[in-house]
Amino acid sequence: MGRLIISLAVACFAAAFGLALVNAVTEAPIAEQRRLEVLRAVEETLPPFDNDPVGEALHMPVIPPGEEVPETVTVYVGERGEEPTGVAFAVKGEGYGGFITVMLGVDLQGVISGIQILEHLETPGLGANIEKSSFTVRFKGKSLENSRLVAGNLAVINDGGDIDALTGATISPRGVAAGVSWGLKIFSEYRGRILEEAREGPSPASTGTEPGTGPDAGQEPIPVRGEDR
Amino acid sequence: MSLWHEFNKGIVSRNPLLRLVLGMCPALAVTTAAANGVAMGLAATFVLVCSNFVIAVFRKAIPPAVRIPIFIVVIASFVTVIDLVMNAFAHEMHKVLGLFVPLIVVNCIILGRAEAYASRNPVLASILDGLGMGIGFTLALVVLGGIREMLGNGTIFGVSVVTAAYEPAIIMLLPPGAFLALGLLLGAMNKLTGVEGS
Repeated sequence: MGRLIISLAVACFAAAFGLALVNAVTEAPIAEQRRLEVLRAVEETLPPFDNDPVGEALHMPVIPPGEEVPETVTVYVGERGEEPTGVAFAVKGEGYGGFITVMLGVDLQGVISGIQILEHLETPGLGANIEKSSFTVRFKGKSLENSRLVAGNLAVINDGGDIDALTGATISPRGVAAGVSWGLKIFSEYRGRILEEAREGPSPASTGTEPGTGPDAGQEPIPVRGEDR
Repeated sequence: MSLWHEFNKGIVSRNPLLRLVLGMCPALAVTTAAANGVAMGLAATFVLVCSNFVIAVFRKAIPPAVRIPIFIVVIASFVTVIDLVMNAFAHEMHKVLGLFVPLIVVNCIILGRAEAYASRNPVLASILDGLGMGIGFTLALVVLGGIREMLGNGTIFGVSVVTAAYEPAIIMLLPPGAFLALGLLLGAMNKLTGVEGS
């Protein structure tokens, strides 16, 4: 009996020790990979900037339209010569296979400067084509003011809006449009506060430095992710 | 039983996927592209070789009554190692394979080789057994992934192999396509090696 307990304990201790070592080695690269992932998405979607939006990310509690519970949105503010040029943040919309997470970039007028699909569970070859730039570019330049809205939202052509859906897939583009509309509304409502916080934001020392050298470089500003992982 | 045979048997005559029909869950789920098959196969091979090695080294010290929990601890540790390493250094592939890397823990090929082979054979033979089985699994996944990617997307390893007139059969990328391709592959394997259903 004693021997059984000892051998199991030794095996578990050795495993825990080994894993702690591996974790110590991989922790920093994993955090860096996540940061780069966010940075790439932000670069794709924001208007040109010369600061470090990821290092200076704001964590804003917002109350989404029609809801009561506040949720925290990580907002990346792009600045050029100390002046904000646009903001990017992750939004979610319900697609065919689950939630689609989209990085939405808007300029200060609320016009979409770019979107990028971060995560989705759509059908390969059909709905999954939403991640192609040939689709995401269709949102560029749209805003709540210059588009044909359906019930206050951007919508695909099939639903009476003006966004071209994909061949054989309407539900996925519809999910993207819903998520993007949600984001545009959040932006128009919180625009003032976001810009105000961005101005006073983090210490001036970190403005304009290389990515990764800001005081917040160590933390992980991960976009909102689907609950199913 | 030469060492060469220990290595060789996992590749064709006792291929884990196409002969023993083990490890179906990752085989069906991740083989939407040949590159996914390579990554999944290599991850499983790493775990198989390492767990076979550790278990063969300690095979005389492990009390039979608690061998299964100890095997699982060893396997789960190596799976966590490969999961962390892929997340850190092959981030894109890690995102594609997602949940299926942690699920290598319950891949019955690995526990099967630990129990049936490594726990009662010398170290070198166990490593070769793990390597052979792992390569056999990888090859089978690559073939399956290649067939599905070619028919469903018109590419192999991302390189276009069909003319513009070819309309990709999307069903091959969906779950039914996995069963179709695997069934046909198993049939072809039986035909080629002369095994008739009995």
